[in-house]
Amino acid sequence: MRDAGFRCFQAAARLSAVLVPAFVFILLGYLLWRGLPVLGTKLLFAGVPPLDAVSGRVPVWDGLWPACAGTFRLVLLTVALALFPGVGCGLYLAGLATPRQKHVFGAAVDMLAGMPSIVMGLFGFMLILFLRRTFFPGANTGLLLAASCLALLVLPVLIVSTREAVESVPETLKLAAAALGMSRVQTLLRLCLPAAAPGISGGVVLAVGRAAEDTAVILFTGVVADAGLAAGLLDKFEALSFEIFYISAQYQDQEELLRGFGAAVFLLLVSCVLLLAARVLERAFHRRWQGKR
Amino acid sequence: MEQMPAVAVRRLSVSFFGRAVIRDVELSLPGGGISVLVGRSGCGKTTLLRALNRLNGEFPGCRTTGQVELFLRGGRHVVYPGGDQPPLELRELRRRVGMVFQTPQVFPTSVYRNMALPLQTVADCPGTELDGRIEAALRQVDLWREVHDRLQTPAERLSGGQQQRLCLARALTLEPELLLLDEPTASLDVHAARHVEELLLRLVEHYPIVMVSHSLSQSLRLASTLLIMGTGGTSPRACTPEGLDERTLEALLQETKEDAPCVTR
Ligand SMILES: Nc1ncnc2c1ncn2[C@@H]1O[C@H](COP(=O)(O)OP(=O)(O)O)[C@@H](O)[C@H]1O
Ligand SMILES: [Mg+2]
Repeated sequence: MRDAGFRCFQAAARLSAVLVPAFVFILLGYLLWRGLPVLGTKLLFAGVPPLDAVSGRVPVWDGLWPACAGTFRLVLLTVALALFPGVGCGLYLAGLATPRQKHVFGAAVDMLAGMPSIVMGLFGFMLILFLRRTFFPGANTGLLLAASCLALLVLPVLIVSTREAVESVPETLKLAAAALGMSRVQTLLRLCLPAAAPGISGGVVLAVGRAAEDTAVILFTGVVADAGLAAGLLDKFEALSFEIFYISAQYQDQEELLRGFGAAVFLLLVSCVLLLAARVLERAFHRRWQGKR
Repeated sequence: MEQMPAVAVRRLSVSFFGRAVIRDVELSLPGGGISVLVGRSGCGKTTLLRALNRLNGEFPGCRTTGQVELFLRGGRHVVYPGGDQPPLELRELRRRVGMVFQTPQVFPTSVYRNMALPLQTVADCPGTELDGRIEAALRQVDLWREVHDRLQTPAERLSGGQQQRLCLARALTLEPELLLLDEPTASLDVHAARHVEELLLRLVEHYPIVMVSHSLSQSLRLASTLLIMGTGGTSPRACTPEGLDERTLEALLQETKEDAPCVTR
């Protein structure tokens, strides 16, 4: 009897374990099946010579290139903006804060983590309206504003992953460092931070994913369908996530819909490239710190 | 042979969250040889040892009263505030009083960085001297021959005995003037433990050593002074190991235990 119960449980557990890869497989398979055939330089550059398009000498109007480049820049800028305060706050919470501070700051971080991205976008938009009425009449939505709002959105991910990674360094090791005469800040920066690098890089990976897929925030803060390559940080920009949304809402024939699938595949590729870059950087660092082999 | 003391403990009491662990301990340790602290588990040996480099202060709820005086190069220093001179600065104190723990506490990085980190952060060692000082310390603990071609591999890859010797070397790079060892061989196999013991007998020529030992036979092999600590955290009783064997030491331990109620207050 108990044996049968256990069998049932085992089967159910196995089924749920298989479900995840199955869905990933179906999802990716469908995406690639629809997206891959249209993939190519024509979809990306719409006939403009690639070199001219990449260097920005010739504007690309019909291709997905500006959206690809826009997403790429947006994500990089977001991570650049969020990395320092995120890791810094996580370090502080893990190593220096008093229990009371941990409680208060931790609650604030949790609240920020629970903030829907549409609210964050709205907040950015209101900020611009406020700036227009007060100090900068010329203020407008653009790449920098969108990246700032996204940075706020991914900040909790970085804080929490840093904090957890640093807190998982054993107390006995910190005590050994203290016994050697290292100060708390030295222990935190020279021992705990490098030891926590894999955890922090995990946080960066999550942040990259979140920033690449988010549409709600950028909708309010500067994304448009036909900006071309953004010239500067304050200009409007294109992004793949928005492109997909836009195409699926507006398509008129099958070919245009396929462009949407192509954009989805490109979004996947851009994310993959960024994630790989994060992993490679972390590996290289870890190998240097931990020693070879 | 009468020696200058290395450590003098005066009316030292340590409590955690109001619960006294050691009370009014008076103790004087010689400036040479190995002083071995023995006693039942939980009687406060580790706490007493940590009091000598103010390491108890790293724990929450700790309160220390009384004074510890260290006789190091440059004369007498006090460890806790409230004495006749300002206490040693924390970093200076811990640099000059090295400590090794019960389980090897190697940092999760390469052998080389394990050694280099305290040198860079605590001793302000210039980069050009780093390699030389690391090699010298590793030679002192017989580890150089074993690891000189694996300095860049993770220290956690070393065997337990090697890890513990690495920890010893890490403390030695800072050129300490007193070594505190808390059951340094408790987590090692017999062979590795013997190796560490031989090492300690060699190191004691250069550094006074205070160690806690879990093993009576080891205490008898190493000690030049035996400190028998009773339960209740009172002053340990000092005696010389001459003429003692394990049975009489065990009896002494038992006796000290029964003495415990004579705590004043
Ligand atoms: N950081 C601490 N916080 C609270 N209690 C402690 C702490 N360190 C030691 N103690 C208590 O002090 C007593 C003596 O501990 P310890 O010095 O580690 O004993 P020993 O090393 O002789 O086994 C124990 O009862 C232990 O619970
Ligand atoms: Mg102990």
